[in-house]
Parts: sequence; C-alpha cells; structure tokens
Amino acid sequence: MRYDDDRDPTLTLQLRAHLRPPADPGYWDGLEGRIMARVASEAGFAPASPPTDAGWWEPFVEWRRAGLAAAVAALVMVAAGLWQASHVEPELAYDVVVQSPPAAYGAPDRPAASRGDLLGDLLGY
Amino acid sequence: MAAPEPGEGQASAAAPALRGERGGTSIDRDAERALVLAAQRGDAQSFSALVRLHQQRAYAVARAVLLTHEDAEDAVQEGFLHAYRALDRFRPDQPFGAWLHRIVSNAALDLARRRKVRDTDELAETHASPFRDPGESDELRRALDRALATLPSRQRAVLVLHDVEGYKHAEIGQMLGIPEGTARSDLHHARAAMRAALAPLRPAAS
Repeated sequence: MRYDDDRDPTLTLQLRAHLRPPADPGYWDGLEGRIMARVASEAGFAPASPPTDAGWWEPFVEWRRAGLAAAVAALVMVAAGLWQASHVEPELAYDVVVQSPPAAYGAPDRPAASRGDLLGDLLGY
Repeated sequence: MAAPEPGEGQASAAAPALRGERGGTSIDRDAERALVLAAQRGDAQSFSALVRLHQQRAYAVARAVLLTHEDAEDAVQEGFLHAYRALDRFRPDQPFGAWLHRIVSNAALDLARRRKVRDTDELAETHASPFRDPGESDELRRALDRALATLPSRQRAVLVLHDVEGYKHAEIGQMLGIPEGTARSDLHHARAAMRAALAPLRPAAS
C-alpha cells in the first residue's frame, strides 16, 4: 500500500479546527513584543516598543524630521532678518542726520544774541 | 541546541496557504533579504519586522510538534532567539523562512523531549488551546487531545505539518532532519493511530 493513499479529509478538517492559531492580531503583536524583549535582553539593545493605541500625534511622527528642519530654517531666517534690521536702522538714522538740510546753521529762528545782550536781559538793563 | 548551518534549509515551496498571507503578512524575497541584511548589521527594527512576518508560520510549526499552545509559544520564542544568535551565519540568498522553521522545529522537538514526562491524561485536561474553534465539541476536542498526545512527537509533527499546514514530505524531512521516506511512513502510522483513537466518535465515517 502506498503511504499517500490513506488520506482522511475528516481527520484533516478536525485537526485544522483543533489546532487553529490565534486569530486576534493583538496576540501576535504581544508575541512579537515578547520575542523582541528576549532578543533585546540578549543583544543589549532597547526592545522595539509593542504597538500601542495611536495618539493624536501619531500621524505627525513621520514629519518630525521635516518639521525640525523647517524650524531650524525659520530660526536662521529670523536671525538673519534681525541682524540685517539692526544694521539698517542705524544707517537710516545716520542718513537722516547727514542728509537733512542744515537748518541749524543756515537759518536760525531768531538772531543770535551776543553774550552781553543775554547778560543785560538778566540784570534788567 | 545548535542552530542549523546557513543554507541547509532549501525548502521553499510551502503550500499556498502558508506563503505568509495568513494574518495579512506577506513580503517579496528582495524586501525580506534587505531586512535580513539590516538585521545582520544589528538593526533591531529589521529583526522585529522579520519576527512579525514569520511568527505565525513559526507558531504553526511549533504547534505541530507540541501539545499545548503555551509550549508552542515558548518554542517560537526560543526559535527566534536561536535564529538571532545564528543570524551572522545565515546566507541572505537563502529563504529565511525555511531556515527559521528548521530552528523552530528543533526548539519544539527539544521542548517535547523535556515534556515527555508529563502524564497524558493530565495533558488532555490542561492543554486546550485558548483559541479553540467554538464549533468543536468538548468531546471531540478531548478525544483529539488524547489521540495527539499518544503519538510520538515526530509522528505528530509529520501529521500536522503535512495534513494541517500543507508541507510536502521533502520539506518536512528537511525541517525535522529525517529522510523523506521516514516522513511518509510516519504520516501513515500517525493517520492510522488517529483513526483508531477517534473511531468511537465517528462510526459512520469509518
């Protein structure tokens, strides 16, 4: 008799039902975590954290690096802007002083008084 | 237990149901090879991904050998630990699954030898899977437990790996380290023993 001739479909179905593996995905997540914990304790690296319920921030985790780069770029731009502004403002103030008409020298509001006139005013002459 | 040398496990033509689709995990060979290479460089996340991909089939292999769900899980953990230790000796051009299953089956056989001292009746009462089929009657479940417990562990492994998991004789032979002809005769004897043990429950089928 050939060994392959004694198939038993009923027995096969019963065994498949009897030895059915866990269907809960949570079980497999847990088993993966337990395996990695054992491997980690042997290898000395930190175990991969088992999957947990995703928080509201989870979708943004992958953007962490891009966000960090954008923040650094923004800081650089702000710093450059502040630096530029701190140099431009004195220049402008200086320009105002330099380029304003020399009113104080060319057109006094009142005639310049001599030291003697001022003293006369004070002493009641 | 020594892990197999790299490249020894050539079995790759598992039954379609076993190609990693169970549980929704599947991966092509190139991606798996990339994971293996990264894991060999010490990347824990890549090894974790390999665990995720292969743990369900590894469990099926261990469950074929061992009588209880808890022991099967222990063997799976042991198997992955051995695989991690031997990872630097694995050649990435070989199928990782076949190599891993040989390691897990060895771990399961080791555990089965240590469990041999247990009383069969005690096992029948305690090893019920917490994930049992609700359609399976208690009487049938107990009868299957007792019948499986009476089989030698190697016969039980051959029976389950062939009839339940769909492996071919050559693959089973490589996995368990026995000649293909021995796997065939083990299957024959295991089926006969199971039929005899379950005959009272199924008179119409006999």
